Amino acid sequence: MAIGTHSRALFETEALPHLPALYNFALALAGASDAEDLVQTTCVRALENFDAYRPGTNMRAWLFTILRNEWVSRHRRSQRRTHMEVSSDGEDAADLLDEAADLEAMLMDRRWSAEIKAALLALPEGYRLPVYLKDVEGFGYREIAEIAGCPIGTVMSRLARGRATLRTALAQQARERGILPANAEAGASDGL
Amino acid sequence: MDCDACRPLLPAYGDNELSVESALEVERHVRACPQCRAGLERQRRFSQTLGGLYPRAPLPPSLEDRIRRALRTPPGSRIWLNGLALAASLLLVLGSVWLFSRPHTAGAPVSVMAAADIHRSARQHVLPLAIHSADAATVNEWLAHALAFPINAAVQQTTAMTLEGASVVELAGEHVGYVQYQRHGDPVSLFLLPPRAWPETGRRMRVREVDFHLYTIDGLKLIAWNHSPLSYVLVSDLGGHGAQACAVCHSSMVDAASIALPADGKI
Repeated sequence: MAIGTHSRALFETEALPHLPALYNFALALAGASDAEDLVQTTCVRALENFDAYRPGTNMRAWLFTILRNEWVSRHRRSQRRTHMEVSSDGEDAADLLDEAADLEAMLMDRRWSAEIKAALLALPEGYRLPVYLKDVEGFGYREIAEIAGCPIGTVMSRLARGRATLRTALAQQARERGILPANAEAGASDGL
Repeated sequence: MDCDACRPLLPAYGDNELSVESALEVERHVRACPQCRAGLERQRRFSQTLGGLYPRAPLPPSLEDRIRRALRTPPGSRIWLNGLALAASLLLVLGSVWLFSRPHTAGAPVSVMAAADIHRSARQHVLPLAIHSADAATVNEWLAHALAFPINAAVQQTTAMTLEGASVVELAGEHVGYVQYQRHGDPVSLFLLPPRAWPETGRRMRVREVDFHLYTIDGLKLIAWNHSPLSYVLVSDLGGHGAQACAVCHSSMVDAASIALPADGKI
């Protein structure tokens, strides 16, 4: 399909401001070695399909969806993907009720950015995606469902489970470093 | 609403994703239940902490420029092959005009004959590709995973054809790599095979110490050659517009492949 100068200019105006977010999403999804290429391919694909974009809808979510689809198609048959899947969609959502140890205050006090990033990126893809899209990017459940290509109920259960898993991992690190008492956060896997 | 009913709803409530009715019910319970209230507060703070502390990487300085350039590049002019494969493409285009003026089918190896069959399937759109991608790195990575022999990133960029994707196909009893391109709406098939010695059949040409074996099978043009660590078969059906393809690509291909052509254009 021929792409007119006007369409391309409009696309660049609408889409390119989202490059930093797209790039960080690509990093979270694919790692540093593939991120730049993934973002570039996403933009080319998006321009080629710009007529499918509905003005007024969420351009950022649309671009994220294209990037995620592109990433999936690249890894559909590679071994890498198999261990990124979560085992089941049917897990119960973890609840939020555990003891009162203040992990969040510790994370803030110690500026545990690198630890948070590492723990989030270590999550299986099925959990990593909704947690990243919700808590880092601020997408709504419906948008996350579109980007991740799954039902909203799955987004909800995976988001809850992913947050709980992430919190457990961070609490474990804090305990190992003696920052939290050994018995604190023991129930984190039961609830965030 | 009791705690058991409330707990599964707390994440969605904290994310403002519940319906008004459900949210009101949760709100009533949370107001009366210190434990659920504490859990809700914990989730909100955890999400805020995560969003606030997660480090964002800056956009690499050259990436936006590169993307702007890519957006200005017409579709279908991004991918081609490297080195010897590019040389072969030159031969293919020139060959469609000069070399295939008479058929060369005698003694074509079984794998070359099978490659012609598979190319026909591609032409009839009945050969499914396992991966659809116009990105050479993606195709190389996929093939490297899918094949039992190394391919050394055989697929790279070109201005001559559009990369469609790849697959693994059975060619005379062995599994080999299949890469499909498109040129003016017609498929061009490249087969990546484990190394082998091609028989001294077909019309043979030697370019830069590489022997190219040229065949014409039922109107299809085939070239088989070796370049370590692979053997290749390239199949196309450029008979209808070989001269036109030559006019479009001749100079850039010659430059890229650094192949000296005789003044009369004949090899």
